[in-house]
Amino acid sequence: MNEESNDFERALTRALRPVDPPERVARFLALAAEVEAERHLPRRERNHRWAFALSRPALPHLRIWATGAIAALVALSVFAGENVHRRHQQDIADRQFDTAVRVTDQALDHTRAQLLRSGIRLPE
Amino acid sequence: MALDATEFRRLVETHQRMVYSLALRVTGETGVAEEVAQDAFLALFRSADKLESEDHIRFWLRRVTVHRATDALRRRSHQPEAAAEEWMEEQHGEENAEALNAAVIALLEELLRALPEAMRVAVVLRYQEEMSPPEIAALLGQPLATVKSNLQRGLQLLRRKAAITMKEYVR
Repeated sequence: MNEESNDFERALTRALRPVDPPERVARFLALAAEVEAERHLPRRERNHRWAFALSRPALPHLRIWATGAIAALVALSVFAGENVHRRHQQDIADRQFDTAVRVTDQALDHTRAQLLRSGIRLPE
Repeated sequence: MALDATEFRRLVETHQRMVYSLALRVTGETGVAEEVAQDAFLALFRSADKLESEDHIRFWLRRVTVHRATDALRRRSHQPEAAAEEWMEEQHGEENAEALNAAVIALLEELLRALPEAMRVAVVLRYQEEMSPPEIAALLGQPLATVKSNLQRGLQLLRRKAAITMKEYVR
């Protein structure tokens, strides 16, 4: 009976040998650990990392180039804005002049017609 | 001990077999076992500063894994006893000795899944992790007498079920 019991327990130990999990378990955990590690960094340290990224030695020439590009863009925007504004003012002035000419022509025609009805003919 | 990602990877490599196998034997489902294992390791990462040594980590991982696996088991509606019967019907064609041996192992795993939860946990810790009854009692926070009783009754049930099923199997 005891022998039989031992056999059964040995079979059970064989049946319950530890098995490896699928590889995706370790992959998931490695990724999760990195995310967790980043999340648990003190805020000061996280800010420092960003500051470090922005002030790397490799960046100065890029920063000069970027500053120039931004200045040029601002100047171009100001010039384009002024140009658009001037053109807009010119359009308004042209429209006002056209209206004035049309009104004047109509007034002249009206006056000429009245004078004509009164028997007075103005020279052309 | 605070963990960085490298140290955490090392701990995963060291303990993943134990954690996954415990979860698998308690829950009986690979997908659930994967989730339990991932969950246990993430909990380890968050609680690592409270753990003092490798032994403490192993003990802690075993306990968390067993608790989470039994929680998962309670949420599940699967009936393992039926699965064991289905498995028996599928395996009647196997005849050679090697296949028989593999079949016995698979059968024992299936029968284990049909055990009541408390007995199953005790049997898995005893025969997979090779822990002594006092160690199991400490891990589960149960009286030693309860653990011994669960082990004894679990083994009796397994043996009886195996005898009945094997008789059917070789008929």
